Amino acid sequence: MRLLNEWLVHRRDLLALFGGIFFSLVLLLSNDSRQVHAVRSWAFAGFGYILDQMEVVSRYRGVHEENQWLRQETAALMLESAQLQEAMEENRRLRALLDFKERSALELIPAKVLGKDENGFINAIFLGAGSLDSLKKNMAVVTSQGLVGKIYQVGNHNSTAQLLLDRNFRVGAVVQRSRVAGIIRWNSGNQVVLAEVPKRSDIKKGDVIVTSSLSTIFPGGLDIGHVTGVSEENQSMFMDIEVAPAVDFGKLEEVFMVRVRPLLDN
Amino acid sequence: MPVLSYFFIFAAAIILQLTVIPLFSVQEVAPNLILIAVVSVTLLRGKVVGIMCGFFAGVCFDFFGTGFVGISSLTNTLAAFIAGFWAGEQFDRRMTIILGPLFASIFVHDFFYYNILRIGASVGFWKTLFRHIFPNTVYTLVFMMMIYMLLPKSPLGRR
Repeated sequence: MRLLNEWLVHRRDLLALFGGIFFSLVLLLSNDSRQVHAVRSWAFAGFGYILDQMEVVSRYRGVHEENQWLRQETAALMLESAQLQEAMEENRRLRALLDFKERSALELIPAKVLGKDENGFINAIFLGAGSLDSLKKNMAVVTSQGLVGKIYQVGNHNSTAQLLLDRNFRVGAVVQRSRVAGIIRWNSGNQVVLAEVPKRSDIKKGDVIVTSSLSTIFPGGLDIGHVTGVSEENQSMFMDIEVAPAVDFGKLEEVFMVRVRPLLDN
Repeated sequence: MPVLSYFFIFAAAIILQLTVIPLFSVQEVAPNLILIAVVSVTLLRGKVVGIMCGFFAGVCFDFFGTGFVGISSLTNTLAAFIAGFWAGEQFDRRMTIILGPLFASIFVHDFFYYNILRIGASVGFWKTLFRHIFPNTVYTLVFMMMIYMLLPKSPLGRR
């Protein structure tokens, strides 16, 4: 306080100057003149500019926070969308399977596909159902699209199914239209052949191949695939019919096991 | 110098500025008698007295004369502050030395006075400087010197 008093006494000229300027400005701004209007408009413009700049700064901070929030929200929504899409797809598949089960004369046992056997000895899939679900060895494995394979090994809660695409898989089949019979076996990749078909048999491209009713394991009439080509060898009495499987083995998620072998209408 | 003396000096200066000084006007350029009084009092009595006199004289002059209240009080205050740096100097035997400080304080007054008047008008800075500020500053300075020389004893010689 003493220092302030000393400063005020020593610098009273400055105090008088600032006082004079302050009161003069107050008096000036109380006028209703052109100059004061101009100064006021400048002041408003300057004040507005400063407010704008401050708003830009605060908006920038707000935008940053909003951006963070939107990123999180987008990630959450994408996840939710993916889950919904998955649920929708599962729903569609299950509806198709249910429809197939209702339409089929076969007694079907559902099972979820747990994975593929990657050991290389057998082309197979693991199923989430076993002997406690009434599964037995050699039961036919099907989907609404057609034949998948057969049960190879059975555990209490899990089992292994040998696929149609396994090199050792065999099934008796017929051409649905002309009833020409043959044996389905794996050829290469995702393709099988209808082998041991006599030459000059009535087979056309696009013909549907189904399981033979003479099969001791598989019910007759199960869709296997359709004819994509015919290969004939000159020195053989038989020809191989190239068949594209009806089932998309890359998208197997749920399958059915056929409990008994009833006769189908078709 | 008692307060009453200041009152009479500045009252006289304001009356003369409003009545007689316009007769000395040349092309809208006229000496500023109140400013002369303010600078003289500041040189004699110091910054604080000069600033106070300048402020109150300016308010009175604006009230009765210009109508733009505050402009003369502001410019007189600034001029007194500038003149105050040479307050108490003995100038009676070296009159030429006084010209610099007087010119500086009068110029500061006129510079702010005319530039404030210029606000909001379409008059350029340089035109204001050469058409109003410099002529008024020189005229006031010359008028001030004449008054000092006409006085029997220059007030600047006294302490």
